[in-house]
Amino acid sequence: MNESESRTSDDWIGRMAREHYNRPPETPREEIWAAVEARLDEGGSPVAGQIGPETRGAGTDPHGSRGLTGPRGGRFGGAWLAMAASAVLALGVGLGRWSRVAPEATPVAGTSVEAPAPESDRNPGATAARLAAVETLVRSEPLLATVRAEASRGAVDAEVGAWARKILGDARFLLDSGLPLDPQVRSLLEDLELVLLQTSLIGARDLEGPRAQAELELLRQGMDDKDVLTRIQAVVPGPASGT
Amino acid sequence: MDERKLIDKAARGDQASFRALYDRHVDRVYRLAYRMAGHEDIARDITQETFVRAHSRLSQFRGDAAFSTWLHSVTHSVALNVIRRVDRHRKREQDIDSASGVAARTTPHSDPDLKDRLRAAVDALPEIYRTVFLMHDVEGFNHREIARTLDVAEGTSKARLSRARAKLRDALSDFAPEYA
Repeated sequence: MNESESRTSDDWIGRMAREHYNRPPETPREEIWAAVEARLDEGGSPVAGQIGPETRGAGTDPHGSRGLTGPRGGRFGGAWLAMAASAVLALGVGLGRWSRVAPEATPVAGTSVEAPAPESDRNPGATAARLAAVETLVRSEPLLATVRAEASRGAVDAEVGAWARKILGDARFLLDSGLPLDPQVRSLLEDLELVLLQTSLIGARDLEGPRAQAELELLRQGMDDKDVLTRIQAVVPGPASGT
Repeated sequence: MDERKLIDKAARGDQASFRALYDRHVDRVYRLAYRMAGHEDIARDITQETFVRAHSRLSQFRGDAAFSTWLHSVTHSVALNVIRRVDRHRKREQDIDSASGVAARTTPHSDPDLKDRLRAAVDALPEIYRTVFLMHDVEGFNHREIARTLDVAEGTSKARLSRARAKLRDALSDFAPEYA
């Protein structure tokens, strides 16, 4: 496996690093597999290979999409909603990929987040990116409102963690898609990604006591420092936040 | 069962075959993710994302390279994307660790100065050198595997390793008598 010719006088550095640099613990095989399996069963979180026409059938098991009771009394994440959301996101990304035949056409000029970008009319990739981004942000808004409420009461439950993880997958997919995202929207998605990651980790670990308090406080601080919720509300179309 | 058959079956939706592939490769994927990320939760996250992405792309796997190499290229891509974004918030992560006592997980008898200096030196390497160093010298990948994973020439992999070692040798030279 290793190349012996490279393992000569310098191996002390490698040995030191093997012993002391990010030394991995035992692989949590079953834990990771459970999470992978859940994602595959959900089928709604589009991942890179599902771009294009075949994406239509991404949700192979509509019952795998777990519903979550949101703060507004309705059920968020019903099977149809998850599939529709995924389809919109995948369509946006697919359209963007398809339309990126002429990469030079990327518009960067000071497009305001608040104002619809007229340039996007000339660039279907930008339109697709905006469509996919707005869709992800719309789905994030009720989640973040819930997280804020949960943080105030001192706990994030596992369902909210799973909810965050689902949107996290979509946000990452979008960030990694190479679509010409408006820089401000990209920055917002990156900040959102961190909030979602922290939420999903806190939810998954089912923390209690001072450690939970400390992490939740940091989560809340992170949301406030970056003004994530307010920025999302500024980007998403008005009616979405007034159900 | 032959790996190619497992891949074909998994690509057709056979979950048991995908599980078998997972069992064969998860340790190495997780180890690489952990070495790159240095954080248990993030390594788990990267590993999970790697297998979810791999599952969705199985039908695109043509067998030009070993499955493990293909998988590691997915891991590398996922890890870099995650780590780059998390890095911006590393300070915050460190605050979380110290507030929750995670930082105290270090081995009690290890020399904190050595660990800190080693971490600083490896983290200071440009990403392209750091990755090759971690893959080759720490996780035991060979240059052929690294070259295919990173989509570079083998010579490039060797050159990067050489540069990485030189920088680390300079930064950590006072530990050489103890470790050489």
